[in-house]
Amino acid sequence: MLELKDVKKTYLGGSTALDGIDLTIGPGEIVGLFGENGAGKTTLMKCVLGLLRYQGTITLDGAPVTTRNIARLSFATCEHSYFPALTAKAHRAFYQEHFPNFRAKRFEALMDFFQLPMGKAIRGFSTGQKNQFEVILALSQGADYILMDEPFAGNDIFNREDFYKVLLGILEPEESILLSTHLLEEVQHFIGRAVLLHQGKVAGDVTTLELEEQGRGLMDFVKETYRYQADRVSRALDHLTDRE
Amino acid sequence: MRSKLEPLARLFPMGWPWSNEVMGAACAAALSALTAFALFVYRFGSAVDDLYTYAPVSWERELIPGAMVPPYPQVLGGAFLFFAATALALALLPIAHFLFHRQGARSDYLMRRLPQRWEFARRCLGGSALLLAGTVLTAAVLFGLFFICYLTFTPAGCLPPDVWATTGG
Repeated sequence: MLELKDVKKTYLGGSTALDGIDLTIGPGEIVGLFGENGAGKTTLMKCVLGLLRYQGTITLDGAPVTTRNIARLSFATCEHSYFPALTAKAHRAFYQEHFPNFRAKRFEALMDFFQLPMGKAIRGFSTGQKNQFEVILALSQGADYILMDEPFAGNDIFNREDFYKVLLGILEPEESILLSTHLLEEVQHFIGRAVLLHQGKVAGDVTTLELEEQGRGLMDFVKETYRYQADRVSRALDHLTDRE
Repeated sequence: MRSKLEPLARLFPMGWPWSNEVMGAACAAALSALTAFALFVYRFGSAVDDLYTYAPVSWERELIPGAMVPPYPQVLGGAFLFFAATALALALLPIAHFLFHRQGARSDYLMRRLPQRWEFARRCLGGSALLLAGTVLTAAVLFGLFFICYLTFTPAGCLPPDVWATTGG
């Protein structure tokens, strides 16, 4: 279980990115992490991975995240964390060396599915292929908790659809995913739980089952939680064009 | 040759052209050694020449009574400046190694979340440290060899009382 207790992050200059986050993600959960730009989604993931200093506690099955258990976390980021000059084959060797639970079979199956070349340097891939490769690495690392930060930015809809299907098909019951994305409607059938961040705080946390029972869609939930004003666009246009 | 050096790849960032760096450092060290050797030979040769004069009639070379060669550091002068420049460049290379992890992607994120705590530091610092050590060792060996030459080829009685005079003895 990945547990965050009262996690706070303040950047130099005093801006608060995370303001007392309490969040628990259990084995096998697929959690969507939503929020406007600057809500703290990326910061939250980087804190979990130890890439940023923070206040509060983050534990993995009760133990702090250290080099002893960090292999249980993987990360796919839209910034990409592979080695651009290396081939997929070289990445496989590197991951096999450093991550004892690396899933070579899954890696090869996904590479094959997305028809990515094994012998070409990653910098020669298209944007979509780079995203695919980044996610393939995260899924193949052999981690229990897979963190994905806007992994499909730049991918076309067909690509993304394929990915959701493949993800649902290959995940083991104990594998958990924390997926940060703006593509609410696309992922609503893929995730089991939605967590909304707003100004560094958890503004909403609901399972998709609860939403179904209430007869609400994910988008409705998000809009309600953010108190979305549907008429704000028309009001803004009226103001800009000086309409009565 | 490259296959023999292959284990060195583990001391450099993944995808870094490490063999070029090793070759570059080796060439820089060789050039520094040649420069140091040439400068030492020239300066020491001049210092030994200055000990002699030519007899007025026979034009035979003879030692000037009481003449001495300068202390060793003065003879060396700036002979090791190229080594210093090479060492400085190698000492700064880890910065380039670190920044390489931010070129085209953020592979530093991956390196920082590896279960092997020192992997990232090793790949940023290891190669440069090894090459720096090699350069310093080469310079030290040459420094010693030149000193032996200084002691051996200086005519008897022409060494200064304190051969390290300008370094504080």
